[in-house]
Amino acid sequence: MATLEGLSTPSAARAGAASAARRRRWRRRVVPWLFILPAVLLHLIVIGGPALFTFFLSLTSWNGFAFGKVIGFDNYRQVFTADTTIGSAVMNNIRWTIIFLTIPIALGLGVALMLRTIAHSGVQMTYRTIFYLPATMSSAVVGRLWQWIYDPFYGINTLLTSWGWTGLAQSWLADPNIALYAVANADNWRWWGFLMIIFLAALHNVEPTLYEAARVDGAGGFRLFWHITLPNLRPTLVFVGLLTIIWSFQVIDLIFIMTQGGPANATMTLAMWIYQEAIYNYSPGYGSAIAVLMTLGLSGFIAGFVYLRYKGWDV
Amino acid sequence: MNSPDLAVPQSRKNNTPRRFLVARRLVHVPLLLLACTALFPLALLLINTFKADFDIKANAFTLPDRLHWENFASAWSQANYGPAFRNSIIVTGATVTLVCLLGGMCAYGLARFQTPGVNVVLVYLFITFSLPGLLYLVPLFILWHTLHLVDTLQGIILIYTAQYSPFAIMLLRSYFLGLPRELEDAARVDGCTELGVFRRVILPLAWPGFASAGLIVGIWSWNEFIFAITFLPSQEMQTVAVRYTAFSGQYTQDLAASTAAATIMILPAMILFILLQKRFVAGMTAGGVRA
Repeated sequence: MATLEGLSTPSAARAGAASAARRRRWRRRVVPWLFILPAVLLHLIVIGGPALFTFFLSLTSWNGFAFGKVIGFDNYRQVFTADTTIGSAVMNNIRWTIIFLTIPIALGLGVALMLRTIAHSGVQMTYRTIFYLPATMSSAVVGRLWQWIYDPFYGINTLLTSWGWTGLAQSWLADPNIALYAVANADNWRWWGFLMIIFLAALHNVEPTLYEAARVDGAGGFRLFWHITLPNLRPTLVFVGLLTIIWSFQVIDLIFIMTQGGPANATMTLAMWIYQEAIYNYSPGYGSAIAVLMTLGLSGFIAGFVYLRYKGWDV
Repeated sequence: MNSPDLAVPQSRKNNTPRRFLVARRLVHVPLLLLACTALFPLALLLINTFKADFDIKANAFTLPDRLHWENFASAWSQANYGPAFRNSIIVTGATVTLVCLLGGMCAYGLARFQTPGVNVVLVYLFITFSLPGLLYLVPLFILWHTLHLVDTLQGIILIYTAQYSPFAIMLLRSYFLGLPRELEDAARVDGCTELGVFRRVILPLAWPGFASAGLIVGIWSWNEFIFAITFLPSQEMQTVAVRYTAFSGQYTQDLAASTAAATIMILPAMILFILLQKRFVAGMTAGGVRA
């Protein structure tokens, strides 16, 4: 359509203005893309293209050395019929999602509400710094640090037994019943401070006069929270919930460091399983099939979110 | 939005009923408890950094008999941190520069020009933002292998730049949308090219946004290890995060060196965070809430 507009100009009649017009057109049509495209092209090469290629890989029996045959949907069939690990991986991702939809959000919001009542900005700042400090650490260090805390010989158990609390001295990472929660605890330690910062900023944007008006009407602490704070935080809560779901289904880093999915798949997640299949077991084709399924599932969540937004929800 | 002072607004300080004041003091009880749980693992790490290996293994929960500063030197040489620090500094510096440059230009284009297609780019960035890294890791490895980019710093710099650009684009775009257009138009009337407008008007005005984005991207690239461990197999190319992971994998041999290596690795990011906290929080909230 844009070119039609250019062609319809009788160029011979406007020979003098032609170069100026061309410059203006250059400014309007080409210059924006000179700004936008470098980053987008790099992104397409590194992420967009390879992500699409994964769909093709998932249809092959490639073993990492030579390209295998195209085997159609056999990899997918195997995921649903022959894979005994994938079930526990999905269950662990669901457990992880439930944990992170509740505990860190409650902690982050609760602490943000408490920090709001501290008038002294220096004291508030100190708390904020302390709570956020773990979030600046690399997963590598967080993982090893908690691995060491959970160590049966050198870790927290030596302290617990010396106090006589032998019942609490569990084999944290070796017991299949608690390993996942032990890793989640370590991840939550460095995660909820970030949510607290987000909630604190969102609370800051709530109009203070709303509270004053409600207080004049005799509303107490809980009713203020229920009728003013929560409704005003809804967009933030929805956003944090969405992020939590997306990230919980992709979680790998602390599991990679601390347990590699063990013991007995007790901490296996989808991402860890994909990494194991694709890198350690030399079956990138199969790993790709799981990755594609996982992405399709996540896209469902995002599509729902976009749909709600489209329907006019303020989310 | 740009410098959030998250303290209570003045108007709320004075006219609070007396019964709330007692409750306000009580707030410190859970907060102090939570501060202890947040600091306990960190304190454990720092204290044991200064202890002899034997003492750590005997009891990790005691104070050091004296400050074993030699742990740092032995960690530095055992973990081979010299080249690792050089690599990490190059990777982090180049990633931050490239993300600010390419991401900043892209954000400016998306914020200022109403060309058809802008929305397509925004939707693309929003969708890929939530793609799991493992979806494209394997094909990317094949591509990088073909281009001889595996085991090179350029290779990992390009990957980080692509991965972290969408965040910077979203953050900077919302920043640019808040800047007045009049100054740019004035510069254009004076004969400035579009690149000149970007360089002379936008960059000086938007530097706090760039500082926030750069700081956060810097800490991410410093800490990242899943892609680094996959794309930088040989030891002399590895970043600090990868060296630390590999070195501490055999950690039962020398806990003193491994705790010291961890401390060396986390200190730069922590110091940067404490010094530039305001910029950091501004970026996290602006980029996070509006992404």
